Amino acid sequence: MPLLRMLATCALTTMVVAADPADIPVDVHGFVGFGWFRTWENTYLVADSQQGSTEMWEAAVSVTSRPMDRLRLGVQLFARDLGIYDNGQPALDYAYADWRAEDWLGVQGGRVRIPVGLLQEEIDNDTARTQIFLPWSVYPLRVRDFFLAVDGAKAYGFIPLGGDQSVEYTAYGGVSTVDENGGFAISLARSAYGNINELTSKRTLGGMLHWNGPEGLSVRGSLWNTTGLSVRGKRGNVSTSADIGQYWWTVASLGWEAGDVQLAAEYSRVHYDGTATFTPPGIRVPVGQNQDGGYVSATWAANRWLEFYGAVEASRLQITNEDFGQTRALVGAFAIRPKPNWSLKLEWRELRGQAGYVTTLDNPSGLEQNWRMVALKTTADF
Amino acid sequence: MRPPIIACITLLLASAAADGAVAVLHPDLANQRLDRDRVAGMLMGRISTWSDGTPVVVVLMDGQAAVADLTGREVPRLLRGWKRLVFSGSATMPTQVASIGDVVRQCMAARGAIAILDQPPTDPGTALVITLADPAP
Repeated sequence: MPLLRMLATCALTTMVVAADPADIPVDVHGFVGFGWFRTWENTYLVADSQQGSTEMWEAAVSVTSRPMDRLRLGVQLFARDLGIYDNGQPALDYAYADWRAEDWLGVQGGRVRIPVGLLQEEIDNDTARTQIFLPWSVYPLRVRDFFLAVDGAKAYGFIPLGGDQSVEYTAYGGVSTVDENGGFAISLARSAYGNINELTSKRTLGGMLHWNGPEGLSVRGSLWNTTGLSVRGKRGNVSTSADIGQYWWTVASLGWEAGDVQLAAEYSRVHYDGTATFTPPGIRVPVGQNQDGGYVSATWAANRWLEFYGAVEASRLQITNEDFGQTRALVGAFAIRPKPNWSLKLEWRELRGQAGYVTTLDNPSGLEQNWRMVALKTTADF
Repeated sequence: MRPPIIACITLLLASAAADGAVAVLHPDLANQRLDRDRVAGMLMGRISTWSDGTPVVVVLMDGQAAVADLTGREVPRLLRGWKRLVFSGSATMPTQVASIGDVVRQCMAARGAIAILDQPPTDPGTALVITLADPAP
């Protein structure tokens, strides 16, 4: 990653030459979360999920500095384990230089996090929400790494419209930060492609437009597009490959906040198509997916230390024009906050359908239509 | 020793109110444009620099109703929004303090600092104190 090396060098050089190092303000923050989950009827995320698993943790350290006016530098390292995904592999979440020219224009370059929907930016950080997991029908639980950031740049801004109303925007471009050892690669390996030895994409472009309206209302539209996703793998003696021309993710979001209550509703659509090849015997097959998903949720802060969350989620999956079914979920959660930076949470999911989640790979004796999951988690941040 | 400078400047967008949020600022910010919408944007992390490029340093003290009045969120919930911004690379965490004395000390020391209180501090030191008018009816 030569761009990142250059950026890191520039950042370090700036901090060294700016002034006496004692004058450069540096902020360090982070979070650590540990959890346990169990499923009933179907196995999900890890082989022993029906017995209960503690393979659920994450940790991050974030360092930011503002060495001169308008300039901010930041870097965050992150690691998580979620069943068989990620397994504690440390990853560079972001590393950026940010220049805020005006309220309505800032630019950030390096590895930059990208906003999709209302909640993608907090996908790893449950300190910011009541429930443990983001809605599965919209946000990628296992393959977060593909949709998290780009190595490139983004422009963003805040434009007040008067009378409590404002608009925020982000536009970004670069290359998606896919990792051959990350959750996305694991998911591909388990689907058809075997051990992944090459995973690249050519270009990712996208944007977000957000309107803060009166009386706590907000509306957001998000668009994410990757071009030229290329997968190369090996399954036994078979060389596998997939080339995806276009990969789209769009989200329409609605939010409303009034005092202790927050309501949210989102609709998401994922679409990609391309070609897969398996050699031997040298066959080429079309690959593609259409997934529609959405949810409606409500959060209520009963008091400073107790919050409740409820949601209804639904998604529908189509693979290469074949209907793979629907999944619906009823979700309930509560969070206890003994201290402002420490939370204890429980989340329960009642699911009907398996499409997009459980597979016969983990459930060789068959899939159950109705299944459930409970998760407990504690997270502290500093 | 510099005598304490107390600047009580009421910025009028419409009519002045007897009570309102009080902004405590670093002394170098005397010429900055300040109104309720702009302050709310700073408190929520959407505005990160003053007009001259000085970084905004938000100083938060829990229990100030004026913060909730400006942002629609009490300080603990406001801080959760900040955590979302910080851990996604969009901001630097506000400074959290426990007393009005700490508010004043931070605002005197940190270039670009702003805090919102319900009442003016009894001893503001060299910090600027500005009453934000209630919004026009």
